[in-house]
Amino acid sequence: MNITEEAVNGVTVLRTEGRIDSGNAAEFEGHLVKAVGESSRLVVDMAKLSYISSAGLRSLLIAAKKARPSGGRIALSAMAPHIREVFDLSGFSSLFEIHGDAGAAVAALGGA
Amino acid sequence: MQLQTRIILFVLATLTVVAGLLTGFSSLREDAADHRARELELARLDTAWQLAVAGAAGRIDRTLGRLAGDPEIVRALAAGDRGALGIRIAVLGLAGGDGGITDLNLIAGNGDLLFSTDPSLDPAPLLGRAALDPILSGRRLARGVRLVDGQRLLVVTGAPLYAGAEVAGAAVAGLGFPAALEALRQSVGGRVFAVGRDGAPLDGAANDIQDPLWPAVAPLVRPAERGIAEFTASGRRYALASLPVADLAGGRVATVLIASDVTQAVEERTLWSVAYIAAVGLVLLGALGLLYGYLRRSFAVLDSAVGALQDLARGRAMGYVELPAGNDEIGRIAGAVEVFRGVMRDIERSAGQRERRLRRQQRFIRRQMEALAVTLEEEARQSLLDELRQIEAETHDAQSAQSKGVGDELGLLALGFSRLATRVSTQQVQLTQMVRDLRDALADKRRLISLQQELEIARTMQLTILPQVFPDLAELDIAARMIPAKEVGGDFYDFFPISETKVAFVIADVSGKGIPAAFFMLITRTMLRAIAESGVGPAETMRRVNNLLAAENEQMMFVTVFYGELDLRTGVLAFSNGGHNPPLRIARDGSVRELERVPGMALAAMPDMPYAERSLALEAGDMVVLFTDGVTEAFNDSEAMYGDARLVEAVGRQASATARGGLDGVLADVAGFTAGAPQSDDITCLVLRWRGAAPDGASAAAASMDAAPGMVEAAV
Repeated sequence: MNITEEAVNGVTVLRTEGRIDSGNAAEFEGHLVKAVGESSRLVVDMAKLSYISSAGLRSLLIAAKKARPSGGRIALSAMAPHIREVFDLSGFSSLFEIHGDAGAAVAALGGA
Repeated sequence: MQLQTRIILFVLATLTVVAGLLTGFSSLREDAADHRARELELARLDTAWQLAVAGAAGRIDRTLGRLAGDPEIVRALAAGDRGALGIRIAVLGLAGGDGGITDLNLIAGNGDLLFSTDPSLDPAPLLGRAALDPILSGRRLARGVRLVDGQRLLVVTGAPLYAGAEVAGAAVAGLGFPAALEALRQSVGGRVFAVGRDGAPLDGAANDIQDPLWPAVAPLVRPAERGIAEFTASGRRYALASLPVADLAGGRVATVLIASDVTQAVEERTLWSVAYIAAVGLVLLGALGLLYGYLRRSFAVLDSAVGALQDLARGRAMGYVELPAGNDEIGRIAGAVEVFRGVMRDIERSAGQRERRLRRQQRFIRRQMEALAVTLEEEARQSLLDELRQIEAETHDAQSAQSKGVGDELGLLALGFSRLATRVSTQQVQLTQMVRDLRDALADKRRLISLQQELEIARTMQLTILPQVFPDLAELDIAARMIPAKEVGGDFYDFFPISETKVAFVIADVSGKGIPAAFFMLITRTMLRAIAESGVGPAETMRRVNNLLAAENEQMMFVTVFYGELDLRTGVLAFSNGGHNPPLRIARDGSVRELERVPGMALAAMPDMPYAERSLALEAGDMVVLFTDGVTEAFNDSEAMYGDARLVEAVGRQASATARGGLDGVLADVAGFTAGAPQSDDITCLVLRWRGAAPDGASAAAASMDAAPGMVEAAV
């Protein structure tokens, strides 16, 4: 797993790469929590993500719960079909905004 | 330049200066003595000349005496009878006679010249009036030399002639100058010359020219000077004395030159001079020779002492040269050097002993260090042994410069020792740290073992609560297995009756791993069982469980659950899905289909979520395969995922298998795919085969399921 962070038009974009499984979900969670703490608008770009386990979903859930009290928003973007399927199957698709690419996600979050 | 040479040169210079001064002073004194001797000689010659003149005057006086004693003369003079005078004088034969006088004047009392030997008509008187007056007044005239006629020199004497007691007149007579010269020649015994005022030889001394010495004398004539000159002629040395002669009337009229042969005297003087210089030179040489010899002898001792000192300076105290003793400074220096050398020899000897002792000690220390090095760890030991070898090598190199070598070696040894000490103490610290770490690690390991044991217990519990055996039902063949990952996971399956005619089956996957997941799984399972048995149906069961789980879910855990209820009388399967993979249904013909996807969120993620419910009627022989994502997401070594397609294919091959056979076949296919790659997630699978409704006793079978004997063993 490799995660890079950048700010695009006032929106924090976390670009994930590789696999997120129970072995590195805690790290993923650390990035997410830190980003949520710093910015109220977060896009998790999954264009290069090859796999996400239920532990990774849990990390996203934790971040969403942390963001909720302060009105923060988390959007996901550029999911590969099999990842999208994981989200659909688990019902998590209904918990997050999901966009086709990071630009759309940033725009949806009101990025200037 | 050596000190010796400098002293000799200095003494030589001093002696030369002193000798020069001596010679110069003696020369000055000689000159003064010479001058005095010349004055004396001149005085003697002067006297001799006066004597000679006096001698000539004496002869004139005798003639004048005869004149004064002749009465004829006196009478004729008084009478003024010139003729009588001439006759009487001729009778007496005075003029030009044997008396030797050449000129005679007889003067009357009044000063008239009555007689003259000068035959001229108006003869000039021999004396002027001024000289005559004292004579005529009765006083005798002093004798002297007189130049007559401007060219003839005479010795002249005048005397008064008395007639009774009165002066009748005066007689003046002269004698030729050569007579005086002859007398001088005889009295001094040398060669005598006379020159006029102009330096030319006098007429009366014409024979002088004949003298063979004259050509040598002539250039030396200085008529006006009184003095002595020296010259050489015909190989002889002469002294030429020059005496100016004064006229009676005053003024210089001639110069008498007297040449004396002084060859012998000069030769003697020269001889003495040479002898004197030679004596001085010899004394100088002798003194220098003695000084040189003395210095040589003294400095030889000093040289030896210096040589010995240089040897000492080069560190050769052992080379022995006997130093001569002495009581002077040099001897004392030599003695001091000798003592110093002895001290140095002692020091060297003791230094040698000390060095040998040091070397013994160094060898001992080195051996001890080597022994100590053996106890060090490999790298430090190798480095230390290298250093010791280097010290050894440098010791051998330094054999020539012994004391230096010992010092250096000690320094190197000390360096090596200090490094060894550092290493030993470092190693000690490391060892202490390692022991501490080891103790901690042991404690950790004990704790870990304890934790592992607890985990093992948890896993065992987890496995234990999963149904291990299934009732042997006529309607239903069922088999299930969970293959846990290394870490405790959160998968579980369940199978339980909820009524006399219905059985429930569950497959679930808790997010995350470990003890929290295991706990969550236990809670979920318990809740599911409790609520399901109340008979509210799949959707309501899911909704309630979700709300209960989501209420106190600080950890944000969730669980995907597939829950189904099967009516054993009809084969109708009612099910609800909370975010789980849809099971697969295999018909008798081998076709595989997913069960219908039902909307539903994973449990505990969010409260108050709706859950849908579907139902379908199973055909006899249908098989339903429930699985967790540990099956489809099993990875092999190439990071390839097993995937849905492979699962569908594998399931399709189990169309005619028993539940147990189908389960084994699917799991074997998964295992064949992963080929021993590490398992990251639990692999759980539950297989049902609907045999068809039992003609009778179905309810009894269902009711007795929990206690029924002869159960089908579930795979573990």
